[in-house]
Amino acid sequence: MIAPKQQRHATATGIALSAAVIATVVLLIIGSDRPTAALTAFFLGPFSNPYYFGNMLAEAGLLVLTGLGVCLAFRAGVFNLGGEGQTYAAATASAAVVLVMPAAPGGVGIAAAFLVGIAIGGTLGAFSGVFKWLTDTDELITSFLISAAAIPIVDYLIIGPWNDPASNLLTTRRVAEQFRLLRILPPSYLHVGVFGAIALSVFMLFYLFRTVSGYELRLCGLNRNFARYGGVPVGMYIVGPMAASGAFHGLAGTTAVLGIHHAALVGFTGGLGWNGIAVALIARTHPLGVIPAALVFAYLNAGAKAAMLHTTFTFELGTIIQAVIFFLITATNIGPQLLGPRLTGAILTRRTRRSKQSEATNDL
Amino acid sequence: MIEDSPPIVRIEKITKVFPENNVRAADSVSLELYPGEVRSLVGENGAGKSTIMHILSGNLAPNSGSIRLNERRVRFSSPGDAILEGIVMVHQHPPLIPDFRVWESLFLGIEPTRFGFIDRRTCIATLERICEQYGLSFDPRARVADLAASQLHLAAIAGALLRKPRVLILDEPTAPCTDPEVETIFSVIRAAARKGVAVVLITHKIREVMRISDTITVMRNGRVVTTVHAAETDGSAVSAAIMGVERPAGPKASTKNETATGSREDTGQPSAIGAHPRLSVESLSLTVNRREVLRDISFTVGAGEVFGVTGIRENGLEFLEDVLAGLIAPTRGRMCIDGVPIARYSPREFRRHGISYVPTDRIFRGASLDSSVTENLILNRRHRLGFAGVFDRDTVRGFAGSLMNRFDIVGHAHGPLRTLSGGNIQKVILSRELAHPGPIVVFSEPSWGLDVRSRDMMYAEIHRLRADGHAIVLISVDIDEVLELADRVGVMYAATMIRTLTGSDRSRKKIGELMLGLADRTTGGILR
Amino acid sequence: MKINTRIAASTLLAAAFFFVTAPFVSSLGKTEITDEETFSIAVFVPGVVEGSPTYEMLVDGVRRAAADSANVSVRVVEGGFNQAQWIQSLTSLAATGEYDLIVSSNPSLPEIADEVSQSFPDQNFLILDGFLEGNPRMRTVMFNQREQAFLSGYFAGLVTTGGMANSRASARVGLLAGQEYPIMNDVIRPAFELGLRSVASDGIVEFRVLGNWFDAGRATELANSMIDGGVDVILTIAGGGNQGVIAAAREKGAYVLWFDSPGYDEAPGIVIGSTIVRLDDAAYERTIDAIDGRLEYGRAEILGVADGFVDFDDTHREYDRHVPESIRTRHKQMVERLRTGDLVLDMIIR
Repeated sequence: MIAPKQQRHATATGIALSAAVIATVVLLIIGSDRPTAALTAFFLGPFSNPYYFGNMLAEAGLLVLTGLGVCLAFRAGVFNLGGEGQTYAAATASAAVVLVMPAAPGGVGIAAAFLVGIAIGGTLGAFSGVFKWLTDTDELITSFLISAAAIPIVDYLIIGPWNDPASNLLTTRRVAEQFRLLRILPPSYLHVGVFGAIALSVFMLFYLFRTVSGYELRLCGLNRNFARYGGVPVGMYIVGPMAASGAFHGLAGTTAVLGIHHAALVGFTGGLGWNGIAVALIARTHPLGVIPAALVFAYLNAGAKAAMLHTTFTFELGTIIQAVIFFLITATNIGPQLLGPRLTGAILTRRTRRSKQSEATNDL
Repeated sequence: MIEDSPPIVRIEKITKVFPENNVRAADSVSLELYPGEVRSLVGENGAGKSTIMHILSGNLAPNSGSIRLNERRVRFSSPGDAILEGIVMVHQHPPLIPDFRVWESLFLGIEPTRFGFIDRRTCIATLERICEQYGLSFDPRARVADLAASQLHLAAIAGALLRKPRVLILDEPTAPCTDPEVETIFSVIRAAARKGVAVVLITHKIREVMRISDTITVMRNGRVVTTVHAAETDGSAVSAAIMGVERPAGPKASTKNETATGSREDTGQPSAIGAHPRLSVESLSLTVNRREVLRDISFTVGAGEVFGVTGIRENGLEFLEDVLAGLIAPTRGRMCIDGVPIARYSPREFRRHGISYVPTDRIFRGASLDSSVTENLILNRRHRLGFAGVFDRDTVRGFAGSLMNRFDIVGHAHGPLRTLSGGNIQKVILSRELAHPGPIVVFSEPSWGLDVRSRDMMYAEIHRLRADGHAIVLISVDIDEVLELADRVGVMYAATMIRTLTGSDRSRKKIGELMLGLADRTTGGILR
Repeated sequence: MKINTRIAASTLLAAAFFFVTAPFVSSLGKTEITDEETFSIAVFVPGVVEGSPTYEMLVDGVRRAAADSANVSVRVVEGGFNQAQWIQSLTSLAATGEYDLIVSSNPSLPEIADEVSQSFPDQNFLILDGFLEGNPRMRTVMFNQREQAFLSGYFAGLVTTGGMANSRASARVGLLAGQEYPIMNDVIRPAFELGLRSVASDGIVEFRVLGNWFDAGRATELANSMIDGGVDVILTIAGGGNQGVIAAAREKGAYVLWFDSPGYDEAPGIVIGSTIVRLDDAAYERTIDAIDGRLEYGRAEILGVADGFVDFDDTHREYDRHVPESIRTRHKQMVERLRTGDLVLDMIIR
C-alpha cells in the first residue's frame, strides 16, 4: 500500500524523467541527419563500449556522493544550494594539497587530500548553518551566495597562481601518479572511489535510521517544533547537517580530482552540485535510493553524450536533459515547501482529495 | 422538531473504508435530517461522526451507499458541489488563509464582483449584516492571523452562513471557546434552526448536547447506535450509549462529569499545600513585542499536588505554558525546582530537570505526524533504547509495543502517525509523556479532542501521578476539568494571576466571574 | 525505522539491468557501423563553430577535402566551452572506433589528444594550431605565430609613430589575451614586442589577460584602462572579448589590430590591420594527404609566411582607405621580406 503522498512523489518523479527522455528524443529526431543512429546511441550508447560504460558509473559515483550530501541536509529540514561551489573549492584545494607534496607516499597524500576536501566543503556548508542558527538567515540563500562567491575565487586560483605554465589549458599541474585512485575499467575513468560511495550510502542509511543522532536529525526535518519540545538541540542540527552536507560535496570534489581528472581545471566539477539535488529528490532523500537515482541520471547523461556524436546540434544535449529533470523535479518537490504550507499545502490537499474522490465515486 | 415534514437529507447505507489503515470508519450508516432541527452527533473518537459528515459535505467519497437531498439522489465530488446544494460544514480547525483579511478569506470562491473586480464593499456589508443578524462580533477587516482561535471559529461559522446553508454542519464548534462564546454559538445555532436550517453538531460535550439539541444520534464503531429526542433522555443515558455500557440505574442521574467532580470534593484529600514546594514560580513577567503578556506571576506546586491554571484564552495562558515548558525565557522573575533556580530556559534543560510536558498544540509541537508511531513514542527515552547512540531494534520495538498496549493505542507501530485517528494520536502523546514522568508534570488542555472514555483514562492517570507524589501543573480553559482535578486553582485575567482559590472557594461561579474580570470589584482587589 | 525494501530491490534491479545488458549491447553497438565510406573523419571543435572564424575555417577546409575525394564522410562534434569536458568528449569520439581520423585545432589539443592516445593508441589525429612531436599517431601543424605577431607588432609601431588621427606617438601599444598560455607568453608577446621595437626602439607593450574567451564587458574595461594609460593601438586575441576592445577603441579613439582572420569589416576605421592564418588551406591540404594515405604522423611542422599560410592582409579595401600611404609602403617592404624568405623568424617551441 502506497500512501498518497508517496504516490504523488513517485508520479512526479516519473513525469520528470519521462519528460526529459521525450524532450531528448524529439530533439534527436529533429536535429539529427541520422535519427535512428542517434536514438540507438542515446539509449544503448552508454553500454556500447567499456569506456562509455565505465565513465557512466564513475559519474554516478560522484553523483551518489553529492546526492547523499543533499539528502542529509534535506532530511534535517535545511537546504544546501551551495553544492557547486563546495565541490569545486574542495576539489581544487585537494589538488593543491597533493601538488605541494609531490614526493609524499601515496596513502599520505590521498588522506591529506580527502581531509582538506572534506574540511573545505564542510566549512563552506557550516557557514550557512551558523548564519541560520545565529541570525535566522535563510540558509537556502546564503549557501547559494557563498557558493557563487567561491566559484570565481577558485577560477582565479586555477587561472592565476596555481596555473600550469606548461599547459595550454586552464588547469593546475597534474597530480603525481601515486595519488591517483586505482582505475577499475581502463580506459574509462571508473575508479575504486565508487565502492566508497556505495559504502557511504549504506553508512548513511545506518546513521539516519539506526542511531539516536540520525533519529534526532530526522525529527528536526519533519517537525522542528516537536524536536525542540523533546529536548533535541535543534541548533546543532542546523549547523551539523549543513556542514556534513558540505563535507559530502567536498568528498565528491576530492574524488573527482584523484579519481577522474587528476588535476583541477576551470569549471571541472560543474553540475555535480545541482545534479546532486536532482538525484536526491529522485531518490526521495533515501540514502540507498540515491544509488539507482544517480545511475539513472548518469545513464541519461551518458546517452545524451553518445547521441551528441550523431547530431548536428550546436549545443549540449546533456545540459538540456539535466535542465528538464532539474526543473520538473524541483518544481514538484521543493516548490511547495519553499512557498510554505499556507497556500500551496491547501491547494495540494484539495487537489488530491478531489482526485481521490473521483476515483472512489466511480465505485458507487 | 418537525418530523412530520419530509427529511431534507436522507443518508442511506453509507460505508467508508480507509485504505491507509483498512479501518471501516462508517459501516452502513443511515441517517435522516429534518429542516429546523438541531441534531447532535456524539460518540467516542473514531466512532465515525466526522467521517459521515465529511461524506455528506463532499470532503470524502463513500465506498458505497447514497445521499438523497429532498428525495433527489446527489453525488458530491467536492465540498464545492455540496455547498451549491446548501450543505456547508465548519471544520474543527477552519482552513482560513492567515495572510488574508477575514472577509477575503470567507468570501473565497463566492466573491461578488463588479466590473470583474471583487466588490469589497458589498463583501464587508454582507458580512456585517450576517454578524448583526446572528449576534456575532469580529472585525471583518482584521487579518486572519490576528484573530484568536475562538474568534476564528466564529468567523468560520459566519462564512458558512454566507453560503446560505440548508444543512449546517459544525465540527466541535465550542472546543476553543469560553462560556460566553459558547452562548454566542448556541444563539447562532438556534437562529439558524428557526430559519429552517438543519444543524448538525459534532461534539464531545454532553452537557452542551443536552442543552442545545432537539435530537441526538449516538455512533459507535462506525455504526449508528441510536437516535433519541433530547427531551426524552438524560446525560448519563447518552453517556452510557456512547461508551457502550448499560444504562445506570435512575432516570436522571447526573452526567459522568458531575459525578466525578462530586466524588473529588467528597473525598477532600489533604492536598500538599504548605509542604515543601517542588516547583516555585517567582514574580514571573514576560514581554513579547513590547506587550506585557505575563505580569508578576507567582505560585508554588508541592509534591502530590495539582495546581490548576484557568482563564480565558488570550489572557496569558499560552505564554505561561511556553515559559513552563522552557520555550521562552521570562523577562523578569524566575522558576525554581526544589529551591534551585533554573539557569537556562530551554526544553532540553527542562527535560533534564525532570519536567514532563503535554502541550496544547498536539499536532505541531507534541507530535511529528510524518514520523512513525514508534518514533513518536520513543522521543523521551531515545537515549536509553540502545547502546552507544545506536538503537537496539528489539528494545525499541518492545518499548513501543508496551506503551501501545498499556494505553490502548490502535494503529500500526511503523505507520506514520498521520494515519491514526485523532484520539489515538492524543494517546500516543500522552503515553509518551506519562510512561516515565518526571517529578514535575505540566499538562495543557489534557482532554482536548479526547472522547469520554479516553478522557476518564486521562483523569485517572493524573490522579495516579498525584498519588505518586508528582507535582502537577494543569493549564486548562475548561473550568469543570480544573475543578475536577486541581487542589488549588489560579485564575488568569489580563496577563496576571488575579486569584488563587483553594478548597470550598473553588466554585464554578466564582472562577467564571474572576476570569471575566468581574470579581475585582466585589472582592476589593487582587488577592493571591 | 525500517529499510525501504522497495528501494533496496530497485537498486538491485538497476544494477542487474546494467550488468546483464552491458555485454549484449556492446556487441550491438559495434555492428552499428554499416557505412560504406572508405574514410571517415571527425572534426572536434573545442568550443562552438558559430562565431569563431578559426573553427569555421577548420570545418570548411576539412569539408572541402572530403568533397574533393570519394567516399569520405565528415562529422563535426562541438566540445563546448568547458575545457574540463574536452578530454572526455575527445576520448568518447576515439572510443567509438568509427573514425579513421580526428581533426582538431587548438594549442591545447595536442596534450589532450596525447592523453587519449594512451587509452586508444590506434586513433589517428591531425591537430592544427598545436605542436607536439613524437606521438606516432599524431600530426601537428603549427603556424609561425612568431612571424605573425612580429608583423602585427611592426605595424603597430608604424601606426603609433605614424601620425594617424588617433596616434599619440607614445610608442605604447596594447596586447589583450584571452588567457595566458605557453605560445602566448613565449612566442606571441615577445614577437609582438620585437616588431614594435623594430620601429620604435623604446616601445612598450601593455599586456592584459581577460581570463576567458567571451567576456566582452570586461574586455572593454581592460581596453579602456589601457587607452587611458596612453595606449593607442591594441592587438586583441580574446575571442568574444574582441568586440569589447572595439567598443572601447571606438569610444576613446584608438586602433585595433586583428589576429588570425581578416577583421576590417568588424569596425571599419577602427580595425586597421589584420594578420591572417590560412588554416582552411592547411586543413584542406593535410586532410587530403591523410585521405590519400600520404600524411606522415609523428611529425610536427611549422608553416610560416614564406609557406603562404600566414600573412598580413594588405589587400583589403578598408586597409587602403584608412591607413596612410607612408605606413602602407613601409609595412609592405617588411611583409615582402618575409614572403620571399629574405627574413625568416624561426618559431622555437620549448
